[in-house]
Amino acid sequence: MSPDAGARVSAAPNPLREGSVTLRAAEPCTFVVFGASGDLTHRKLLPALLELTRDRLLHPKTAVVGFARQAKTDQEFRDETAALAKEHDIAEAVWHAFAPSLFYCTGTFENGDDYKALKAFLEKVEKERGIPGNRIYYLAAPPPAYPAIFENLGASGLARPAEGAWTRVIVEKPFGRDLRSARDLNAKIHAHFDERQIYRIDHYLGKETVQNILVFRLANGIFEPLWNSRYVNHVQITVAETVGVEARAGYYEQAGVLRDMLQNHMLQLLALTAMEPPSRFDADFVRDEKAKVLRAMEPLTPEQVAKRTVRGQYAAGSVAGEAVPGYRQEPGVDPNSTTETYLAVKLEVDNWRWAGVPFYLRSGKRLGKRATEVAISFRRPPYSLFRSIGCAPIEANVLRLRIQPDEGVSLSFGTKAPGQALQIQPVRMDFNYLTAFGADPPDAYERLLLDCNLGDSTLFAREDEVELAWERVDAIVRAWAERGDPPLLPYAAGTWGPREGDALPERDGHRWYRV
Amino acid sequence: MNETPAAGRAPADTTAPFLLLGDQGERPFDAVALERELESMWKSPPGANAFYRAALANLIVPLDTEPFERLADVIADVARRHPARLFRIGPARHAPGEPKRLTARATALCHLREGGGAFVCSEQVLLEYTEETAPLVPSAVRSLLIGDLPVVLLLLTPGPRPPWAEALAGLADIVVADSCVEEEPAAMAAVWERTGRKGAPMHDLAWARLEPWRASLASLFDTPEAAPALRSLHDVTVVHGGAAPPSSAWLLAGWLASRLGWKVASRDGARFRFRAPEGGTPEIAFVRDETDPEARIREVRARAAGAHPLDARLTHEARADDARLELLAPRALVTPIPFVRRELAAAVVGEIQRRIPNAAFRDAARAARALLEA
Repeated sequence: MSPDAGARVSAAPNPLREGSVTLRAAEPCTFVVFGASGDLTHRKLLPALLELTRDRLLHPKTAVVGFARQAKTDQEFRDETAALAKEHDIAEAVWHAFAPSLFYCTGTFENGDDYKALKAFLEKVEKERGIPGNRIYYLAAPPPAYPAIFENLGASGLARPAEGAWTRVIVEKPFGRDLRSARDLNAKIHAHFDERQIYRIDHYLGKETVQNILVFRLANGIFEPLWNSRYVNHVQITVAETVGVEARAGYYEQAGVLRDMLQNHMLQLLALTAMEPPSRFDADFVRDEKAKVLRAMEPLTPEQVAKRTVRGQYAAGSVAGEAVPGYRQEPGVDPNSTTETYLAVKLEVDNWRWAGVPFYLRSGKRLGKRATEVAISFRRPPYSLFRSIGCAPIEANVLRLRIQPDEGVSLSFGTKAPGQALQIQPVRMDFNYLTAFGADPPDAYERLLLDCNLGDSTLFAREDEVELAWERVDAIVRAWAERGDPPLLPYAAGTWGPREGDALPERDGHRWYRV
Repeated sequence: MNETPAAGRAPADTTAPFLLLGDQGERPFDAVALERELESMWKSPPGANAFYRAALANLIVPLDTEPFERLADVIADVARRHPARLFRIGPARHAPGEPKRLTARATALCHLREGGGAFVCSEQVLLEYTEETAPLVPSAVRSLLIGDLPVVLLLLTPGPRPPWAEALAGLADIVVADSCVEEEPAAMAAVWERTGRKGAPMHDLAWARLEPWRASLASLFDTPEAAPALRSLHDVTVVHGGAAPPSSAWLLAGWLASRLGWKVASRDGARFRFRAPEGGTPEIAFVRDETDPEARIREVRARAAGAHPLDARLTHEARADDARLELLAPRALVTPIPFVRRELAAAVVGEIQRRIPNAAFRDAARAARALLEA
């Protein structure tokens, strides 16, 4: 925090910061939420801001201004949020501290005059609360509205920081729907904002367990030496959902699992798993290394797409003991939809570290269980010493980084089962966040909102990462569209996807690990 | 706290924040029997609830009878935040059956995880000693330590401590003490003297409590415009409650002096004059606020002159969630700023998890001792 409006951090080191103060205090700012009536605002943003307020992590002068088409007063916005506060067990005292910071400005994303009104509204709020002009614009609006929002923020002068203040913009995924639209969107946003002002959010990166991938690899001397093709046989990344398309049919019909999961969450998980250690734990150093991984994965050729991808769509079935309809029977979904809800893909990172190590990725809706994990399967011992005395083949050691639920890490290894015979049983060493630290990790949005306020973009995607990811996704989309190979396969809801998905690693002598 | 009389019995109220498992009563200390008793709790989990045994550390807490009761909830909260095998050590409250042996009880302290569904439990060994058996405490603790976990000695009561309690420091990887419980300057100095010793690094909860003050003061000098004022600070006033400057006030002064390279030159009562590396003679003064009976820092005023003037007053009212920053120069500004105070248990866990010795604290403690001795 700085008492000065600028709140810029001095280039010269502050000796009072040395070795003692680990967290910088949040700066006073206004969160302007575009799409304040939407699901994301109510499900994630407002609860995260409430929790941050409860934990005293926001500056007391912070303001939250909702902006949306639906006409509403400040008081109505506060009343809605009061209900959320109750749902989230926010103490009365915390709510009373938070409520006066909530404001609402009615307007449409496309109307330039509404932005002029918003500007005047923000200036009034900032004057009232003593905020020096620092602003975070959060785009929780439908993606088609992004260009208009950028354009109007620029035209109204809202993108330009006031003297000594800063403005930042958080953009929700999807950032484009292909490389061309992502580049176009980047150009539109760069017309008004510098890259340093742009925070492309991928909430997976805010998850404690995703951040732990780097800590686990690079803060433990025993794992990083094994983290390469010499010791790793293959890597599996699973992002499995039990939910169906829910109320997002309009978006999902256009996106499918490829754009919804692979382009962002899964490629980010892969990049964190495969990246080289950065020389500094700093936003651009980390993002440089992630981008290098994406560059090292050549876009798949159509022939490779046919062999290395499997796509499916869920049909009616049962999930967790409950009958559920098929995708094409979901409200808002085209009865002849060809949108994929399941994807399995084999990728390769062509660099010194990972040459020859397949990365198997799979994701889907209405799968057997909700689970996200990265599994590192190590090579088996070169010689099976115990086979000659009748032992079963030795299982590979598998290191599993569980992202959700039951966040934690486990390592499987073989051990002698008690008894006179020499039998080797796979057992598991398990670390669980809950039992180790006695509490579940905090919500990803809290971390990311706070990081944006503090100007730390380490956990946000940079322009080049986004475009590199789209380039790889586009290659698959093109091949599917042009050749129709592989075909879209149905799978029963509640299963682990089409049989061909299982066959993908099996062709290389591997199998998906049960999550 | 809810207590269940014996392992194998379902807790009566699973909505209670804590419950105690086991506890087959006091008995003469027997390490093997205690380990067996602890093990048996997990072989016959109580009722239908899921119980997880968790341990990230061995936590040794020597307590007298009075604070034993007062601090029981704090220790339970520490175990909730950082599960551990907990050793609570206190004087015998009943006449021991075998006067030459320590007495002990094995229990497990469990809390319901957020969202319900499962209990996370810390094993707890309660050791009681008499004057005669006190020297046996370190060896008893040693016999029950979980080998591959760090050993934390938590000293929450004022010193001086008997030799057996000091000997526990020899078992520890980390010592967490609290100079705030000391009233006499010599006792505060004795706490900080540990920082210079070989062996387990020492953490002071007073330092953890200073964090919001340090963060707020540091933030005054973050901007390029304000940074030069740090080198021309000439007067710092620390206003405190209570009868005498609390340990936090001494540490704050020590922190400023050590970070800025000031060496103490002279003392006039509660006013200290320093030699700054830039050649100036800045001063730090402690001023008592007679209206505030609580031994705590209430206000810090910092002034710099010359080309980079600064006059800032940071005030924190007891138990307020925010501090108030009043900037008089270079321009007038009044603003609330966040003042994140941590509960005692959270501060303890923060220090345990920090693990490494904090160089800034060590320097501050050394400088604070120099002030006390000036």
